[in-house]
Amino acid sequence: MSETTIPRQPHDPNPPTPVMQPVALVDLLDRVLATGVVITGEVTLSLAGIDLVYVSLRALLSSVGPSLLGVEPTAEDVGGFVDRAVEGGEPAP
Amino acid sequence: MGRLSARADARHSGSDGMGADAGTAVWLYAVTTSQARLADPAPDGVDGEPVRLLRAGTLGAAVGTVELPRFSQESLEKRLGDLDDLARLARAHHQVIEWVAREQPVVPARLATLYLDDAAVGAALREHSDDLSRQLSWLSSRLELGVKAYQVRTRDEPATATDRPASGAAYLRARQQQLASAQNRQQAADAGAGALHSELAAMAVAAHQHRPQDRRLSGDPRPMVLNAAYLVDEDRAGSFIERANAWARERGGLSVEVTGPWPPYSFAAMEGQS
Repeated sequence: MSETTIPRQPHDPNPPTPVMQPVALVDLLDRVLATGVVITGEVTLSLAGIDLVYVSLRALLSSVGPSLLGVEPTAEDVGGFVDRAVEGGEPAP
Repeated sequence: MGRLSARADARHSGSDGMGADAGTAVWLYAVTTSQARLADPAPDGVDGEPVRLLRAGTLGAAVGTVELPRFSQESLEKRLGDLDDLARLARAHHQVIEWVAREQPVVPARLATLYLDDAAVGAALREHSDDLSRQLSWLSSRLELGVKAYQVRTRDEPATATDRPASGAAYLRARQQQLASAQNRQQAADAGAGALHSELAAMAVAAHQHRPQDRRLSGDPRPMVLNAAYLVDEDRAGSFIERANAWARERGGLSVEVTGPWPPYSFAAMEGQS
C-alpha cells in the first residue's frame, strides 16, 4: 500500500457521513459471522464454538429462514453468508 | 464514572471472581490500544453487562463478563440458531464495537469469541501482540465501506411466455431466445460487477468480496451480483462513495448500494486465519 497522505489523528474533525442507517441485519451477519478476528489462546473457552455456529446457521436457513420469509428455499437460493461462513472468510492482507 | 472500569492489568484480574468458577465467561468485542478512550455512556453488552477495557501491554480489549448458563457452548449453539436471538447478539456486539471505534482504531472480534476469564484474554493478546499491533496501525484512520450491486431488469426484455405460439417449433424457438437473452443479461451484469469492483478496489487500500446474499435474506428480489467490502482511507471515503454511486448512473445495468462506514470487520484476521 502506498501512503500518499499524512496519516490522520483518530479524531477526524470531518468524519464521513454515514451512508445509510440502520444497519441491515444481513449485512451485519456477513461481517460478524464470517469475518472479524479470532484470537486463539490456550484457554479459549469455546472459540465461538465456531463450528457449531456454522452448523446451526445452516439449520437456520433450512428452518427459520424460509418460514420467516414465507417461502420455500430453492437450490439456487441457497447461498449468502451461511455457505460462506462454512467455508470461512478470505484472509485479510 | 459510568459502567466502564479500566483494569490495571489482566494479570491481576483472576482473583475478582470473574472466572469459570464463578459461572461466567468473558466475551471479546474488539482489540484496541491500551490508551483507548471510551466515551460515556457505554452501550450495554450482549448479556446486558457493562463493557470494560482490559489492558495487556500496549493493547486493550473491549470485553464484558457474561453469565455462563446463557453463553455456554451448548446455549450459544441454540441461541445463534434462533434468528431473533442471533439478531440481538449481533446488534449488541456491533454496537459496542462501533462505540469503541468512534475514538480509536479497532480490530473487531468475530461474534461469540469467548474466554474463560480476563487472564485468558490477556494471555491471548500478549501471545499475538505483534500481529494485533500491526493490524491496529494498518487499520488506523481507515474505514470499511460495503458495496452491493444488483442486476436490474431492462425494459426491452421479452415477455415471459410467448402468446399462443403458432407451433411447437415456434414455442421452442421463442423459449430458446428467452433463455439466451436471460443468460446474456446475467453475463453482462457479472461483467459490470467485475468492472465496478476493479474500479473501486483501485481506490481502496484493500478489498474483500463477500458472497452475494441470498435473495430471501437480502429481501431484494433482484439478483445480487456484487457484495464487497473496501477498506478506504478516511479522507478518501467521500470520493469513493461518490464514485460508487455515479457508476450506476453512468454505466447502467446495475443498481449500486453503498453501506457503512463499518468498523473494519472484513479486514480483521490473524495471520493464517481463514
